[in-house]
Amino acid sequence: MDLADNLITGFSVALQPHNIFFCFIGVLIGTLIGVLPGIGPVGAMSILLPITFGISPVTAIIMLSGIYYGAQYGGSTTSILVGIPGEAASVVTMLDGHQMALKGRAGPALGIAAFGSFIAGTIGIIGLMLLAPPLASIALRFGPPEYFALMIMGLVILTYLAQKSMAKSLMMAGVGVLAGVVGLDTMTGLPRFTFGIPDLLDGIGIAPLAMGLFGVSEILLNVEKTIKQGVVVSQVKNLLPSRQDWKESFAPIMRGSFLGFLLGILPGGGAVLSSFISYSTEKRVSKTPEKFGHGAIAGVAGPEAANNAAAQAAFIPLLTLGIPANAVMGILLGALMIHGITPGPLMIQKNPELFWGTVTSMYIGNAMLLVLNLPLIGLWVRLLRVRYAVLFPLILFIALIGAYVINGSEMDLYLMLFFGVVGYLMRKFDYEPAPLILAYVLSPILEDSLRQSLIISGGSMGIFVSRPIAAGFLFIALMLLISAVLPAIRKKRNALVASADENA
Amino acid sequence: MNAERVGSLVWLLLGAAAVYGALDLGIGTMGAPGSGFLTCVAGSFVALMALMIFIQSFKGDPAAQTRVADLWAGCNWWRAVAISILIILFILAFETLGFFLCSFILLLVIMRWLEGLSWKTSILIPVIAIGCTYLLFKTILKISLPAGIFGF
Repeated sequence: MDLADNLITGFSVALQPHNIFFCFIGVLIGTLIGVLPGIGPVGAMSILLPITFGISPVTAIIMLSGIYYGAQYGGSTTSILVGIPGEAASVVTMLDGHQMALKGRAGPALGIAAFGSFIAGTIGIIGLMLLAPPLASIALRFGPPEYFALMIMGLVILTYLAQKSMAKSLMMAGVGVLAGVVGLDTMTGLPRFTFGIPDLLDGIGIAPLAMGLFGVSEILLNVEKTIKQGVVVSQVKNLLPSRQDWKESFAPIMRGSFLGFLLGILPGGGAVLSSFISYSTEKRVSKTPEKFGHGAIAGVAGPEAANNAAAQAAFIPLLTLGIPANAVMGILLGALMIHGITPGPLMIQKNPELFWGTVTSMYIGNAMLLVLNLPLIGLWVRLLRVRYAVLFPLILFIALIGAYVINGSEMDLYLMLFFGVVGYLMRKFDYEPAPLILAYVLSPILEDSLRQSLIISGGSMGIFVSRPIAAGFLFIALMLLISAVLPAIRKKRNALVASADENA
Repeated sequence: MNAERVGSLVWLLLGAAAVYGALDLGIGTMGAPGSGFLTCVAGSFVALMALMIFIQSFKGDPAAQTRVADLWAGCNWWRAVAISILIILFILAFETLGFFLCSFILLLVIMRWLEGLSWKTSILIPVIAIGCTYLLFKTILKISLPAGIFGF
């Protein structure tokens, strides 16, 4: 089948009325959570995971993906109008976007953010479409040692790019692996760390774990402090950027899309990092770098394009290798597995409707987002006035009911609360939950591939270095670990993290 | 107490407990890894990293280090505790009192007493939210919710 046939297959799935409906619900919720501070896409997707159990896997993934890339759009609205990032990836948009709003140019800032996002999103989808199938066919040659090495490399890259301490992130990945082994051992049938609780025989569910770590913990942290919300701009006019605005933004959008796409493929790279790098690139190439931080439209266009392209690119490792690049993709992997689908190189061949349906739905979702974010901007501005005091009890309520309905078990509620408190303490003590959730999702695949590799080799670890692809992956991982310890490089990495923190 | 030290000690204990549990499960041999093999590797790794962070915490200026008490300084931490207790009470009563009553009490208590919202908001919003959730789960998705002792 060539690309045209695949696209026809995809659109025939994506254009089914119920898929259009759920795509719309997804991007709508995505925009909503992007706009509202205090809940991110990981929290929202995990809370809404149970709702997807009643629908087909394609529809579920279309909706969940919509939440993810929709949040990238919505986040910019809060950043520009309120001056607080609705989403981590929108931190950079705030720097110049909010300055533009203060100078009465909120309209063009929102306009270029939406158009930039749309262009980058589309470029990202095209890249995903062109790159995923050949990558999947290469991955078909992977055996258990290659998979094991790839996952180790993925986890190392993720922790290398982590915002805080690398040792802490690596440790969190280890804790994630431990969380993933709870339950019956599929090979021997032995129960592991179930403490005599029957509900734990199936392992810790992804929904209570993710809802706890990302949903409940965020609520616990937020209720401790007073969240100030004040819309500085209540009337938004002239959303269409002028010719001059376009002239200043076009190249940054293109550069941002390219950068975002490349970084989005990397584990842990994703939207946040690419937006920071795009901003610093634009500042460096600009003829008027002094304007940055005071309302330069290029400082909005570039990073917004980058975070959207990265959001699309992050689907590549998940859909072709079955390896999630970030925590959101981890939730998607969990959702696919709940529906009995194992993402990986065979997925495109075995489930072409799912792959092409999801990819083409992103075109439709992107177009919907443009409509949602430009003509309906007034609605989101009004929503920004909803107080957190009203919002968080509702989020908590939906999370509680959502966690219960999965298995109809109180145990899941206790687990969610437990991980909520753990997540709260982790963030207090400066430990990131993202590597934990990713390693948790990968844990069963990691264990199977490690065991199978050792059985194949008769117990020799040499299998990981004698096979070139596996050795290559492990070499990259090793180099990153060594470079993180080397003083000169560590200094540079710390400086990058520090500048990201300062800007945040 | 130094926050880094306390945090790393907790993870060190978890890592050690995992290794102990793994040995109990049986780690097998290299050629035939047992149920505890990966747990043992991951547990040792967690313990090793925790030990590294623990040792690192002794470096640097002691005055600049964060203490556990600093993490909660200036925070209304009691609100997080109150929410956690409310969640426990909600779970304990959920199947007995049922979806409607339990959800309504939880939302009312948080909105009216914890957040100090008006009676009108604290009643109206929960009623709408509970109604919509019931409609979504019970009517559209056909997922049952506990009726409780009152039968609703």
